[in-house]
Amino acid sequence: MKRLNIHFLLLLTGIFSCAFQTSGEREYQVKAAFLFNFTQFVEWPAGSSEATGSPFVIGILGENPFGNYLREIIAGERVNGHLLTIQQYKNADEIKLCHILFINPTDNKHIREVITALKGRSILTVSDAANFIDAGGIIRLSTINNKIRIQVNPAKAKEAGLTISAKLLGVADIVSPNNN
Amino acid sequence: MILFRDMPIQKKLMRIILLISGAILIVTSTAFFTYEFYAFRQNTTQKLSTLAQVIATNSTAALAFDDHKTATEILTALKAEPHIIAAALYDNKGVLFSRYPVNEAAKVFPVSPGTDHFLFTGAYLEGFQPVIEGNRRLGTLYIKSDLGGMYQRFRLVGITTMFVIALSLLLAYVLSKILQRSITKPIQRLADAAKIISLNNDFSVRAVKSGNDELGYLTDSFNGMIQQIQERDISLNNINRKIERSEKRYRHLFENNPLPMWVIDEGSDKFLDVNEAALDHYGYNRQEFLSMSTLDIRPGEEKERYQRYIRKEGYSQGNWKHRKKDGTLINVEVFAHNLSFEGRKARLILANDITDRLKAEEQLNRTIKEITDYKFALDESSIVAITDQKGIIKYVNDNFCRISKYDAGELLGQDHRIVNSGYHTKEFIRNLWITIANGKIWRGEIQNRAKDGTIYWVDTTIVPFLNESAKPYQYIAIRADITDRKIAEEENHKLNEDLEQRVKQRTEELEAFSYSVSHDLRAPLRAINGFSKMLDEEYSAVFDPEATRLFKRIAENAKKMGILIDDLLEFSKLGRKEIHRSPVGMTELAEETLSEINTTLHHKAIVHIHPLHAAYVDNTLIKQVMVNLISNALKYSSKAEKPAIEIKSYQAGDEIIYAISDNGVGFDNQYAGKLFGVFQRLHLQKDFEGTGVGLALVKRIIDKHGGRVWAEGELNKGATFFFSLPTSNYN
Repeated sequence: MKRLNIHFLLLLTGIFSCAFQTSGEREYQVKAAFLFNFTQFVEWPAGSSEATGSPFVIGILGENPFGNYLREIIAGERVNGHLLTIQQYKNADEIKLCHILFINPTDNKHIREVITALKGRSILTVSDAANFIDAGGIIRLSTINNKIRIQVNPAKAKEAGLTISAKLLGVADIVSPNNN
Repeated sequence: MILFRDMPIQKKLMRIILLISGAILIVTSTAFFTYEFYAFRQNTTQKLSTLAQVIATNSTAALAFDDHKTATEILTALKAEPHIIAAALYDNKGVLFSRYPVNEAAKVFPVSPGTDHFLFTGAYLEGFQPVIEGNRRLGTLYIKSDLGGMYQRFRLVGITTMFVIALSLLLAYVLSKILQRSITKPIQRLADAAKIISLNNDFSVRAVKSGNDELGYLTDSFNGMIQQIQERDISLNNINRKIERSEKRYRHLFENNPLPMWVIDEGSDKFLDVNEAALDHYGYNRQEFLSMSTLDIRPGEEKERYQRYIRKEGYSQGNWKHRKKDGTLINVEVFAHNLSFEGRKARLILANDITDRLKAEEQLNRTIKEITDYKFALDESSIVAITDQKGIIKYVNDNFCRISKYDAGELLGQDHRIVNSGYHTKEFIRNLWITIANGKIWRGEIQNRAKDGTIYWVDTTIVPFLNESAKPYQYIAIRADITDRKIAEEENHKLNEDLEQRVKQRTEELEAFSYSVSHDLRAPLRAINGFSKMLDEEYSAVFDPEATRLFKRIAENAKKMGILIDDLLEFSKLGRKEIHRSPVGMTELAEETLSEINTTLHHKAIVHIHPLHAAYVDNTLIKQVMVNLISNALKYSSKAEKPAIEIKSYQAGDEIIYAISDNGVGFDNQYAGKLFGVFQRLHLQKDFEGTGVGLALVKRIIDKHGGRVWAEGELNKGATFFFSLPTSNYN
């Protein structure tokens, strides 16, 4: 009886915590789900994961905006047999094995540097920075009317050796860098 | 089923065919329909599922990236499938994500997704399809399809099926109607033939064969059977006719049998049938007879015997006493045997009345006994031998053996020559054989020689036994030993011969003597006569009447003496006289004699001369006989009131007998023998004149002719004188 009461309490707590989510939290929760979902709609070239047993890495460059939420989503999930893990990077130099990189930039210049640094590597770069496509990023998550939209630059993806599913392209906006 | 059983084959076949084809069609259609139903459902499910998968696959990105618009677009593409009436996407939390048709009320869609499969709910097929990308479930697709189209198709299929069934049945009906003829027609023909046969009893009908199938064989077999039946029918008819005929014959034999016959019931002994002869013989009418039992025609003691009598199965025979209606007891010999009479166990009885036969047998037995006694007596008294028609000895008695001194064994098979003494002439023996071979009895005396050579005589009578055609088949010879007599006779014969010789000698002497006496007596008598006459003529005047009377007496006696002497002379002459035979008409002789007598004798007698047998005799001598006998008759009847004389003749055996009768004084019959002696007289001289020589003369003449004379008479009642002449005289 006592035990049941505890569970009941926990459930109540859950409901209340949800109810008190802020809109910013809500946004990143969706984005975290998007990050995870990209693993399903993008193909990485063979050899991008070195050996079996090596993880599938979602890296976050910069501050982690997702809180624990992303970690919760990917907990125990695998992509092509590789266990999903999260890596936190402060600098681009730190990026070793990485498949998806969410760039939470401090400034726009910084984005350009990072992308340049990652040139030739099969890393799906994702960011919600406004000039991300222009800076040579592959996917930008934009928020329009409280809805998150996906912008994709297929050319860059191709450059990085990644194949983006047509389905994903179907729901995304195809963009190219504005070179001015 | 009973109804079906009695149905004509044609209908039966039709029903069977229709039932079978109907059943097959229904089963097939049902199977087809069921298959179609399930296949269609599966197909529909499959299709819907595929559609759902496609949509689900297409929806992954929309769900994954929270793109309601795209999701709605994808769902809206279902417009192309008009039977999809609703579709919806739920996110992985089960929240309705997007829907189709968009303007449809939310309550049409499930609040949350159910389990991932498809279900038929009423006229709909609905289900949930997971939306998966890679390994991840992104949400759920709900889809609902209206099955109206499917059911419409089912209806179409159903109607088509029904139509096909109906058409098939019709086709089956028409085809079977045509095709079953090959089966029903021969059967119908068979049935018709059978019907005709059974109705008309006409076994000459044959069914027409229509092919070489089983029905053809059946037809052949049927015809074969009918053929056999026909043959059997014919032979049965023949047999029946024969039976009928034989029954009729037996009936005829029974009804018209001259012997009484009847049928009795085996158990009750009641009469079941009886023939005319029985009715006649027993005196009952048919009704009476048939109301009785066999006990009723038996006397009391026989009833008990009958009840004790254990009948043999089958044929039996026995002697019984029966009682007729009038009470007469009869002896019957009964023959009985078992038979079946109108379905019952019965006995046929034939009753032969043997009463008469028994009597006859008794009589016969008595006769046989008598004959046996006769034979015994004959054997005791006589010497008996029986020979066959050839003279071979078949039987000899003890007397024969004793006298012949042969054993019977030596005699049997021999003929009589064994005892032949050779004494008799061949002619004698031949005569004997001719006599007996003609079936006549032979009598005679035979001399035989015995085994030891001694001679014996037997008086023999041989009687032939004649068969149906009057021919002798055997002879019985009955003999008496007359040896002693024969010896005596022979001696006697010798003695007689001596005596006769002596008598002859004496008679001749006597006749010579009497002739000479008579002759010599005549001369003195003539002298007496002559001198008496002269005395009368010359001296009658001187004699006194007394002297005249005395002289007259002397003359009369002298005359009488002369007559007597004449008679005696006549008589003695006759002894030496030869007779000269010639045919003589006796009637004429008698008439002539009578008229001569009438000239000298007056009489008042009426003489009736019948026609007389002619004779072959000495005319003169027989006339003398007639004169003497007629004169006698006239003389002795002269004192009768109305004298009447009758002369007639008749044949008796081998003699002709002549009779002269009168109604005169007659004589005492005891003296009849004396009438014919010489000088014998029965009446006084003063009553009737006569010398007493006449009848002696008659006897002598008849003797000479080989005949006999005799007389019959009664005092005062007339007399009849007879003489006979042997018929051999006429030859």
